[in-house]
Amino acid sequence: MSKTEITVQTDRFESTRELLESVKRVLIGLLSNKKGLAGLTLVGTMVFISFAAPLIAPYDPEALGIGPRLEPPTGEHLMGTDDLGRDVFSMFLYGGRISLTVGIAAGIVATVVATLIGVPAGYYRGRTGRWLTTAIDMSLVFPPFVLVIVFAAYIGSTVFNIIVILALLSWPIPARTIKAKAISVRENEFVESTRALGATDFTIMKDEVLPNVLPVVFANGVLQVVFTILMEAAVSFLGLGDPTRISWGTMLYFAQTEGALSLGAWWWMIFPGLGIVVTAFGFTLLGTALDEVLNPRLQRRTWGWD
Amino acid sequence: MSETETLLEIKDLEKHFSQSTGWVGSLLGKDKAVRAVDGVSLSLDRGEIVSIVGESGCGKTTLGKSLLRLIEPTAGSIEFHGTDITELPDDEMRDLRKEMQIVFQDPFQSLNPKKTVRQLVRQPLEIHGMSRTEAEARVVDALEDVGLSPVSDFLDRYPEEMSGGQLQRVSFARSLVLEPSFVVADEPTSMLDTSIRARVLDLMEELRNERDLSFLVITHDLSVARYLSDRVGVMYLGRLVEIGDADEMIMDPKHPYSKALIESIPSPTPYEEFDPADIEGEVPDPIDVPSGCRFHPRCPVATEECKRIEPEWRMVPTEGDASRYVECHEVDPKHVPADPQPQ
Repeated sequence: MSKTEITVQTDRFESTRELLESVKRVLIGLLSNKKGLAGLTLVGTMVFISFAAPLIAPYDPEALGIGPRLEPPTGEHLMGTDDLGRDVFSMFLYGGRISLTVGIAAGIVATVVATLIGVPAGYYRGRTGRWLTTAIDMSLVFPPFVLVIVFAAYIGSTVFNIIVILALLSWPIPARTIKAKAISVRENEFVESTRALGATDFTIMKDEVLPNVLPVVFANGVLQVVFTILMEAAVSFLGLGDPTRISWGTMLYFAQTEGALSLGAWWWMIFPGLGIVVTAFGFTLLGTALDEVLNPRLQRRTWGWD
Repeated sequence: MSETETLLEIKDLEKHFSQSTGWVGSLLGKDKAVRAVDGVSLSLDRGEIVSIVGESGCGKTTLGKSLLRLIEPTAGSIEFHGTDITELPDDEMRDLRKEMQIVFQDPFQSLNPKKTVRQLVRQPLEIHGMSRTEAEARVVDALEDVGLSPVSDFLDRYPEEMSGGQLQRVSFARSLVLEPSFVVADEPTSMLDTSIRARVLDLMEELRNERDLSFLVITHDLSVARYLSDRVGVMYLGRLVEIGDADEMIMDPKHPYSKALIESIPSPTPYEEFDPADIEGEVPDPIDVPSGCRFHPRCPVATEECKRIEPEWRMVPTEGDASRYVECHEVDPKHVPADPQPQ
């Protein structure tokens, strides 16, 4: 009788408990890793100030003539003003929202697509694996940047469209990495032993392959966000971003077209540029740290160095 | 063993791994096949333990895996409970896996390190559609059956927190929780310390006695084979060369290869002179199998005939063993009964 008590007790929340456990473990790992701590701090700060923009921003980012035109940074306008007298600091805070939303959303979608295609591409040996691999390799051939420009020009550059386009064009590289990892996992004997129990391919991929591929998925996903943030900035800088929303990329676009450089209005370009660089750097640190935390072999090596 | 029921009947099972030499090679007809299993026939009764022994590379593991279709056999038939499973569609085969299981050599490899014992043993039941709560009760029973007690101490451990012997028991529990009637045990004790080995062997014996379970034990350890099994088969280069009653086989091997294999066991008595077998050379490449009898290049008694003609698989009853089969020209054929029973 006591047996059944033990089993029923822990049964109900098993998966949730385990998930929380591993999230906790990873967080602790990140916090005790120098790169992880730095990355979390940078990304956390950028995310916080962007999403708390309405609370922090001293002015309406779109209101014209808030201050004098092209004023260098002062106590009143921390990052100066642009040629229409808008407050650059307020625009910077609000602009981060679009850059981060587009970057993170597109990065996540791309990583999910990459996983859904990469895992079966690596797991299946026969024709299915070959077809999926061919699909990945062919998608890899398309120059993403050129296609983003073409698509943005054709289907219109709303925020949603930009997310979809960036996601659809950036999945092949992580898909290849995930596929390579899936190949090494499928060779494990526990995969064969699960097949011997009568499991379907789907169950094996879900229960045996995916959990062992996830570390690679996460580390890649974070680095994927860096790529999509930079892409978004590039697209907006070319004037193909959503014209109704301020992002760091569109700020740079206007600074460029209105001749900030020749006017000597360095603050107009430096701050949005810094926003992009700091965010991308933060995510890169986070991704590298995540790789180290989730991959015990790398971890041991860093311990040796420190 | 007067009333026996044949559980498994393998006929001319073959597994050839093709080694592609590229399309140029295939145009030149140079594609070659590794003949890992090259025509093995064997039958297994309910409740019987048969061991297959042989050097590494003789195809014994491939035989074990291909008769469960973990490796698809190239040719031959496998009848299980009277149905040929080589032609079964995938979904029926998956259902049938409840009945035929395998225990792998290294439990550290064959158990997912990210799962607890509870999850590992529950998984087979969930795969076959049992609800989690229902499965949990069976998990506890299965772990008790393999002697992991108190069970509550082990349920939430991860593989890395257990010893090899305990883990091998978990492997057994994972296979046996489905209540199969046939289990392939691939070197079940070779990764274990000698002290634990006997306990795992006893466990297998017990399972056979209690559940009428049949085992095909793949091993290179002749003492394990003798201790555990009813019959022992010797494999050489993809073929069975001899099979017979376990004790008789060890005491009185007929095939020159079996003799050599058995003589190579060092004697525990220091007074006896140890004279290892007089066979020379290495096992030939299974890509280039020798003509005639495949053992002839290393055989001490080979004749011209052996180089040309492949010997037949025939019954050679010995004094103590009426069920001995041998594949050799040189084994005295006088004892062949007038009406040999085809196997």
